[in-house]
Amino acid sequence: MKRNLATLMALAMLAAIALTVPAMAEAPAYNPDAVIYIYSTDDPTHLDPSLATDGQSTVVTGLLFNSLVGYNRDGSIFPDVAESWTVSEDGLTYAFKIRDGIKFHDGTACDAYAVEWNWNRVIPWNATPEMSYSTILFGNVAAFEATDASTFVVTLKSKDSTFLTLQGSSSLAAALLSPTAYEADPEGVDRNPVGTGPYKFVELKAGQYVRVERYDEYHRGVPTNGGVIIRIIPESSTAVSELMTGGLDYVGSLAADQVDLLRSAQGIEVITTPSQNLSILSFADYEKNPLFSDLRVRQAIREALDLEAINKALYGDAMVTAISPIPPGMQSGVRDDYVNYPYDPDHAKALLAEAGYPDGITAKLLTYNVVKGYNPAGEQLAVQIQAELAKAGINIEIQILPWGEFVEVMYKDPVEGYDLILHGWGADYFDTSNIIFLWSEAEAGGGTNNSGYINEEFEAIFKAAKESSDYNEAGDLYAQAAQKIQTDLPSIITGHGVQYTGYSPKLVNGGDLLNSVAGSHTWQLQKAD
Amino acid sequence: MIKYIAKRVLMAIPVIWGIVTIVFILMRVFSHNPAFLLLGQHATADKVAELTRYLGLDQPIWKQYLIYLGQLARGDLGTSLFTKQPVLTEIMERMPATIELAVFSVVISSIIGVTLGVVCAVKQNSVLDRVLQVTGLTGISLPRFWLGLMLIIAAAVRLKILPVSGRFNFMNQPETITGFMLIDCVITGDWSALGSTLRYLILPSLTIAVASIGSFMRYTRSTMLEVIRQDYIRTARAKGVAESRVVSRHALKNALIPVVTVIGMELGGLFSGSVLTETIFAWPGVGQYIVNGINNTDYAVVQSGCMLVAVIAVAMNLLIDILYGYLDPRIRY
Amino acid sequence: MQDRTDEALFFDDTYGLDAAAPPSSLWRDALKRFIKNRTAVAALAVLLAMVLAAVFADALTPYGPYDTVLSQNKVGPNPEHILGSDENGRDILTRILFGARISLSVGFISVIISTLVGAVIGLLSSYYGGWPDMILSRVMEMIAAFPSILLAIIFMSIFGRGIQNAVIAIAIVSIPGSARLIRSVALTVKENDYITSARAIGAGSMRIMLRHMLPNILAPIIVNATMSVSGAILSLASLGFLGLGVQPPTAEWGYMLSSGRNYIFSASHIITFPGIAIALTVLSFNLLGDGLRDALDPRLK
Repeated sequence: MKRNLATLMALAMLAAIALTVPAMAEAPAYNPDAVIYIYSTDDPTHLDPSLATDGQSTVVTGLLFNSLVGYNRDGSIFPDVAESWTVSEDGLTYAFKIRDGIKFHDGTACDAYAVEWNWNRVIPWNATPEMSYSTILFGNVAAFEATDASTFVVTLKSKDSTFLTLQGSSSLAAALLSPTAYEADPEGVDRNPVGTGPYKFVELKAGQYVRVERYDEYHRGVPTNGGVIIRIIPESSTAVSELMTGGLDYVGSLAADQVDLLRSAQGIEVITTPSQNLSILSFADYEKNPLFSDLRVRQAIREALDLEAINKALYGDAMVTAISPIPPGMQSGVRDDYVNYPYDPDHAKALLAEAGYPDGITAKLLTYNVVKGYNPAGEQLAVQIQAELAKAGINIEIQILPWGEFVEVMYKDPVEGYDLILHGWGADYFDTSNIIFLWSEAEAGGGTNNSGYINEEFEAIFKAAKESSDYNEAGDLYAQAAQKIQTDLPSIITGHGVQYTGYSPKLVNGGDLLNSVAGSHTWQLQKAD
Repeated sequence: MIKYIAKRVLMAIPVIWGIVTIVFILMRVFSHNPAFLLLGQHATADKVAELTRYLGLDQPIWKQYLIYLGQLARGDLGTSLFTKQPVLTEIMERMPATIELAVFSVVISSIIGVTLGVVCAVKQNSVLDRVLQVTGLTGISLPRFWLGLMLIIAAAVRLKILPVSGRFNFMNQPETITGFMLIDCVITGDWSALGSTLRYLILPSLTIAVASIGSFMRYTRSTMLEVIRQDYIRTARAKGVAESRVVSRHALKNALIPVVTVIGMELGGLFSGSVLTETIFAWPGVGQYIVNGINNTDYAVVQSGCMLVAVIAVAMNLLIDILYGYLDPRIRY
Repeated sequence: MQDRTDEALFFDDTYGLDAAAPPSSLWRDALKRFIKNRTAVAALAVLLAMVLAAVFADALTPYGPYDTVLSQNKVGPNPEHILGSDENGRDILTRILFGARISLSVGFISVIISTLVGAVIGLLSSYYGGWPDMILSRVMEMIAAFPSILLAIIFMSIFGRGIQNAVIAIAIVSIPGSARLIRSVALTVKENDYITSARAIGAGSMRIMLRHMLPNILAPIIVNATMSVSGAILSLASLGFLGLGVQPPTAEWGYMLSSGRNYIFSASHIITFPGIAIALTVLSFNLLGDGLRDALDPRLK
């Protein structure tokens, strides 16, 4: 009986191989009209990119819009709507030459005047308070003007090496929107976005899907698929089930556990994108906290945590243990020679005793309960940190707040009622300044800099790095700033979440999703039927 | 009758007002400021203060309350702070999905549940009765969200016999006319879409029905037993009317009257209460919408959503009572 | 609180209220009938075992509910960890046993609160009728007009996760059900001769309510309360699943399901066993309630 079963299984496997081999041998053709299915956990809040702040909005706006420059896979920029540019000697004036013949989906010409119109809408002195990215992207702009239909000139307040990189945020306020469409119905633009991107907006069905279709006159080439449907699926295990059964073509930010399963059983390909995010354990406004204002106590916590082992167990390969705040996927400052406090629980205890706490300490830790790219298992990480610290005599009380309330507490200055905050950050763009600024009181203010790190030397290095027009010099300066974070320890960086993207075997060139920034290569995907 | 309805409607007004007020207080006094969420990861104290002012959320609570009541009185349910869309429009977009799932589940579970309930009553205390009773209770006892996940894994991922989630197959998408997919398929005569859309309804409605079948079955059984003991049934039996006829003609009709109430209440509850089922099956319903609103602190969404839910619940109760009076001629208003 | 209205399920007016019979024999007969009902006795046995296991959890398992062993996380059932270990390397059986403490006590306490409050409201409105009844009934309608899960979600997301808040949220949403039931049975009792005669001999309102009405409606209250515990346990699990229940690392079944569902494909035992624990407990309470009703209301048997 057993033997029969084995024979049967062997036969079945042979049959399966026989069936798959010829299919694989043939050169995979693709259907140029095939629709790509992706997903988002919730309806897009905004389709007007100037208002977009969240992932469920940018997953859509990223497909519809372009801006002056675009991002390559490595995070560097390429000329997009601006064909080329010149920078004045003092580094303050940029003259962009606008590419000829670009049209918005509604036929309006996307020339320098259209760019000027867009900037007028989102520039800080005109923007509404809801345009959260206005000051981030345009805060350093002093003046701008379209001198003719193909020239757009911008003057900055101060020299800024990040300015160009920022202008690649085509899913956010840097996106170019059709002025005609806006003026026809200013109120309705949030539900009728008209850009220059590879896809035209078709419809949004609340709670169900957003549909976009191919824009044949796309200035970078005709998209190789017919369109994209972004399905709304709140539960991530449901989304993975859809990927396995063909209901979705690719899913980003997979959990490490799902990866092994998908790879082994379902014929789903999984690729990883180097991390552009970080998971952070911050000492909340530590200067004002008698417990943590002592570096020895902060250091004790760092040394009591075996981050390598924690990350391995909780996330497998999906979390790279951090040696500095700068994620490996950023443009500059990525080094391997950062000096860190080692894992040394005995020394941690000694440090605590030395600091006057021989019997250990008690602290309150705040975290949230939604899965974020930079930390797919926030609660579990908090629990593990708690368990590890308990061994060193540090008692942690965990408090989980719903996301909305968590954000409110975390951004309050000073943070009240909590000693530690477990949170994270995903880079908006690839310039390392978008990571280092988190500890800059001058730039991030009391909100984002929730550890309350105030250090003049650090600020000076950061400012110099931002102003430096030399790529290598800037990288060195960012690395210096990052080392200061590791030494002064306003926060412990626990890890960098690797982005796993799983894609269906139907995607002929699904591997191109590698390092694809916010779906920026979706339009080049080829899908077999 | 009209007088009775008018009286009930009048009595409902303070109830609705109370709900509106309670939710308003919960949201505005005890909840947090949505400005932090609206601004995303670049929120700073200055920006938050500015946006709070811009949205008019810095005004005194009583003033905001009066403004809100004024809006409601004009039939304006407000707009979402996040999407800027009118709450009423957003809810109406989602209502068909909710109603479709609720009605479908309730129809299926009442057919199965009532039938099994009658069987139990007729075969009272038999082995079959006991087995069905315990099975029904087991169905009631399963956590719905857990059952839903297990069903997805079993039926959709492992066996691949049913779709995982959503309302329809994009390859076979029915044309939207009313928003009720099944009705739209019938109107357009798109029978293949009807078939595929039905397949999408099976797992979520099964998740809901497993518990409802149990409860309808138990309720039918107990009302049937109740009726069977009544004098007129005894008389019918004594007169030598066949047992099957006693059950179908005499007992069932009277036993079903109270069952209708339970079915109606279940339906009313499902119109907004199948949050977990909706979440797991990515079913674009109203419950999920309100819960998202709660997570975002989207004031108008939660306040008006809850009000609408309450209005529906009150209206359902009234409808059930009217239906009850219609079915049971002994009751007169 | 599955996402539905539970009260209709067990709330019917069929409780036999045999006021003429001396209560002592009623209870004794009920006990006799209950013992004969094997399913109900079995359910009671399961529940007693569960309570004992929860109380003596420390002695029953060599592990603690918060003992994490990172090198042994997500392992399936094996001789060392009979039900396997979870994502943090904690023993699942241990966490289920400790979780029983939370689930059972939240279930009991919230039902005690809702039954007490419901009894007060029900007795007052049925006894006095008129405008007190009118007001109390409207307030109950307000709460009942919400699907209970929605109200509990609002409450928990505003006031925050935690056992205490969960108890309050679950109690609040169950009050209208018990108040309505108690009011309706108390109304039928109120018309009985002995109440009229008690009133005739000048007994005070308080005395009539507590000494004459309450004992006669105790049976349906007990049945309803037993069934409500099952609803409360499901409610807690639902809240836990939505991430709105207890604070980590507390061992609570719903929370175990919620944090384990990321591993649903790779280590499905993490969410299978807590789910079974919930279903078994809830089923036992329902069966027990059923048995109690059959025992206390012989007409239906």
